[in-house]
Amino acid sequence: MFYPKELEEVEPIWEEQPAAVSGSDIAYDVGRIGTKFFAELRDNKKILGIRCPVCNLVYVPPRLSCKNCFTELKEWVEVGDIGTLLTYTVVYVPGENQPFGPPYAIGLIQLDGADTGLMHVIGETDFEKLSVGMRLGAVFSEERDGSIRDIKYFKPL
Amino acid sequence: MTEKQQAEVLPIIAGVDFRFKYPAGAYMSKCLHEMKENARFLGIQCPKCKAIWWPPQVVCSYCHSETGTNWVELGPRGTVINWVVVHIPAIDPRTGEVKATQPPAATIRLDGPEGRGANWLHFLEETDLDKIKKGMRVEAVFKPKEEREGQASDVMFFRTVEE
Amino acid sequence: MARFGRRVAVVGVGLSHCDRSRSDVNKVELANESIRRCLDDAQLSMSDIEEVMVAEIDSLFGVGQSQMWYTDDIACYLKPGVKVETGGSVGGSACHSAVHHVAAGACDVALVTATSKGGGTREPIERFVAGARAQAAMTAGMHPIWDRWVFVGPLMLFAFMANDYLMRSGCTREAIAKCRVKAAKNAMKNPYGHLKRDITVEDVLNSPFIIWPLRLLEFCPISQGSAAMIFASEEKAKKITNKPVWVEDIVSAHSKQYWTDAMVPIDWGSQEAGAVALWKRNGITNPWKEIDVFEMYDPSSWAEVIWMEWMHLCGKGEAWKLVDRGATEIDGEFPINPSGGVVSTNPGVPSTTMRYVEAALQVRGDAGEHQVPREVKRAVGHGFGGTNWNTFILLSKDMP
Repeated sequence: MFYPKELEEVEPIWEEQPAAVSGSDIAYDVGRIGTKFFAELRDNKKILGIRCPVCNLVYVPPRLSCKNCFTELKEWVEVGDIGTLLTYTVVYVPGENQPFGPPYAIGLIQLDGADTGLMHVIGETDFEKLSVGMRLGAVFSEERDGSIRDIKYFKPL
Repeated sequence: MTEKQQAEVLPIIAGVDFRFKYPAGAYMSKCLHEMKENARFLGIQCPKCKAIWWPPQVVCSYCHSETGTNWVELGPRGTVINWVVVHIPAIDPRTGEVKATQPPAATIRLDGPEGRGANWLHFLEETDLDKIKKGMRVEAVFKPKEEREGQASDVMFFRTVEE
Repeated sequence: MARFGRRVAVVGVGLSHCDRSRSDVNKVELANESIRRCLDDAQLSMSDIEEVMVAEIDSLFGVGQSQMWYTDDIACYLKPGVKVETGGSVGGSACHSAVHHVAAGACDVALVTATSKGGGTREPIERFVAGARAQAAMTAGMHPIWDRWVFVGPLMLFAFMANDYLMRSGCTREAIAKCRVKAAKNAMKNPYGHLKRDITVEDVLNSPFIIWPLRLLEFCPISQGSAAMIFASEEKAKKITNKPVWVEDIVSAHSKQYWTDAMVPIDWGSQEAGAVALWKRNGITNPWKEIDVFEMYDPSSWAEVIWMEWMHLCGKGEAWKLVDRGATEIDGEFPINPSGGVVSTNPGVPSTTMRYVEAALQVRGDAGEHQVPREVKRAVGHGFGGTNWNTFILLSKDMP
């Protein structure tokens, strides 16, 4: 099926609209488990994980259910604020919602005592000096409000 | 957990804003151009089952025949068949801002060929509810040409007319 | 009569507590709440679940590809699943998907999960603006150039529908108010419901206009909540439970893009098309007599009344009179929404799943305080979405 010729010559009309629900209008509840995690970051500069007693896994950040066995998780564990870099990348392209203007490095960090990686920014470093397996430590923000940015970044030790 | 932690629940506000560009498509673009340039309503008629489509569309919804270039002129007058009045603040989807007030919105059956018409949802100039009646006749009032953009809002409202 | 390749039954249901704001949980934890109850109800564990169908409307809630976030908490880690989106009818469409998969033999036990966590606690946002944003978010389902600029969300559609019915049928506003009061009374008997207010006909008639002629109390709230259901093949169902609720049929019907079209004549089309298909396919010639309970998706009490006519439950112009004399009360001739309906509890995404859950509970005789006081052999659950998609499920006690 081809469009009639006269329609091929019609100048296309567009309408531009903002997204119906602006992201900044939404408040995402973190729930009781999330609240405890972020409150500890904010008030005590401590990072908490949650442990599955069946699989003996510690999840950081904490969550409600174990993905393997579906046990409802209740056992809180304090994990260190030092960990090992599992993998990383360096972002050069500007985009939305970036923690800093590019370039910046982000990495997956397995904190001591945790069985999962925590995604965060790596600061105070030369990108050349980053390597898998290196040890990093958390640097907390001076002003904390109960969000993941209460950890300012992880820096090489 | 401290008492404070126990009592509070935290929200996270993370904003990502998008803007979208929606194309009208060939048939709707033609119809919008007609409104802008010539203050005319151009619908389309299915050559097979004679149903009228407003806005014009490439295929008939009922029998799926191609509508081709079977243009029909609709309106500018029509009949009010239903109406409502908004009492709550409404967000204008084109700007994301709260609209101030809205006149009554009505379903208007635009006059068409051989007694067949097509419905359109638009505003009425008349704001007095007692004066709005089912079956009343109205006529489209366009914006001055220089203000028209090729959008449904090129028609400001429908004005009550005597016949 | 067996319609599918294999018979399918509902073997477990679960609901979460619904409220305006469930800030004690995040989205996936809310889903988890009804899933855990559903697994308990079926006496199954997460490893018995073979596939998960996720119902969601991402664009309303600001999380894209939410199925990724849900995975762990919906017993779906490393398992197959399907994500469904059909507006407000999605809670039903996801169930239809589960029925299809089980009937076709793709799996034997499928879990459906539907959750809505819109809004969330914030600095008190002016209530009206929060409502306006919700309507605007739903207006996003309408044509960007032709419909959105003039519509104020689904509210406006129901206002048009109400005005037309007022003009055509001669109905009284009291009849609609009675329908609303019935919903409130039933909701008070539903432990998982949201609005449980002892409202009177006067309260409804005096509530302010939101979009004339629609009054505030005639329309549903926005709730947060979740629902879950487990569907199983005949062979598995008989091992899992001694009260399987058989899926006799599922039907859906859809409508056109432009809502202006849908107002000609005032009949949106798909309510009737779907219901008529359901009656015809199952040899039901008099649904008023042959169906024992109907859980209808009623975003407004107007919808419950008007759609009785569109769905051929009664003749044109008759519905308001039947409601006026109490025929649809919980102990009436034809109980509609003994759970309190969507007009009392409306989390949106799970709202249709809840209609299906409630219909299943009625067939099982497990609806507790809001169980209808008659034998329920056949129940219908109905779903509706702002896209004017309608879904129907016919559930029965006897194996088809």
